[in-house]
Amino acid sequence: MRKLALVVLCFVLACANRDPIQDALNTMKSHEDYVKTLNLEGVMTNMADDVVVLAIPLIVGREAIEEFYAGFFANLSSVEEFSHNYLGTEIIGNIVFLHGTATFKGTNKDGTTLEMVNNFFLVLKYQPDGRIKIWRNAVAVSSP
Amino acid sequence: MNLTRIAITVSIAIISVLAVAAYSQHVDTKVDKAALDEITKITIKAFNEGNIENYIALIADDAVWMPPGVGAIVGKDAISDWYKGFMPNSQFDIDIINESTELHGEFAFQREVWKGTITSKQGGEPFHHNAMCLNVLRKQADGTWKIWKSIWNRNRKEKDTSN
Repeated sequence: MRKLALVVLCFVLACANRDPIQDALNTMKSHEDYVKTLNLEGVMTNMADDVVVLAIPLIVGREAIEEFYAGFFANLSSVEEFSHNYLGTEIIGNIVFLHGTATFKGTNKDGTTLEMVNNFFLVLKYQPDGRIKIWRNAVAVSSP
Repeated sequence: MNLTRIAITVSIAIISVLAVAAYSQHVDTKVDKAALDEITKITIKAFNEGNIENYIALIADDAVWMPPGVGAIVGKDAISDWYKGFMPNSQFDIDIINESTELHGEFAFQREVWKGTITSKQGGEPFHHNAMCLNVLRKQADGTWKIWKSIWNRNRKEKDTSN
C-alpha cells in the first residue's frame, strides 16, 4: 500500500511540475533532429498512435506516417535544414497547439535540391507513456 | 494523516474529476455535433450568397487563419479584412464535404473538402476550387462553437485548377 501511495504521489507531483509548452518544443526539437539525420525509427518515437497529418496527401495513423517518411527519406541524401518558427503557442488541458512556419532544405539522391516553406498547425498531446507527441499536424504551402 | 490516506484521497479526487469530465463530454456530444454541422451549413450559405458577415460571425476573436500562399492571419478583424479584400468581387458556388468531425471536450477538429467554382464578377473563366481544410473549433464561454484555427491546402486527390 505504501508503494502505491508513493506511485500516486509521484504521478501527481509529475503532473504538477509539467511544462507542456516546453515539453512540446522539446518533442519538436527532437523531431527536427531525427528528420535531419533521416532517422525513421526516431521520427516514429514522436508520433502518437492515432496521429493524423493533413498535408498533401492526408496521412492517417502511425503505419501510414511511417510509410510516408520511409518514402520521403528514401529519395534524400541529406537534410541541410529543418526548423520551425513558432508564431503562437497555446495549451488546453494536456494538449498543446503550435502554429507558425516550417523551413525544409534537403538534397535528393539525384543531386537536386528540395526546399519548402510551409505554414503549419501542430497539436501535441500527452500520451499514456507520459511523453507529449505529435497528434495532429496540418500543413499548407506558405509561399505561392 | 498518513501517506496512505493522502494517496487514497488524491486517487479518489482524480477519478472523480475524470468521471465528471467523461460524463459531461458524453452528454454534450449530440448537441455539439449538431452545432458543428450547422456551422458548415451556414458557411456554405454565406459563401454562396456572398454574405461574408454571416461567416465572420462564426469566427473566434482570437482565431488564426493560414491560407496557402499567405502568412498567418491573426485575429477575427484581420481575417474579416482579408475576406473583404476579395469576396465582394467574387461569386462562389461551393459545397463543403465534411470528412470527419472529432470532439475533444472544449475543442473539435473538422476535416473538410471544399469543392466548387469561384467566378470573378468582372468576368473570365470560373476558377475551380478544390481544397482540403482543417478547422479547429473551440467552445466559447457562452456555449457556442466558433472556428478558432483554419488551414487549407490544395486537394490533389482530384484534378483542379486552383493555386
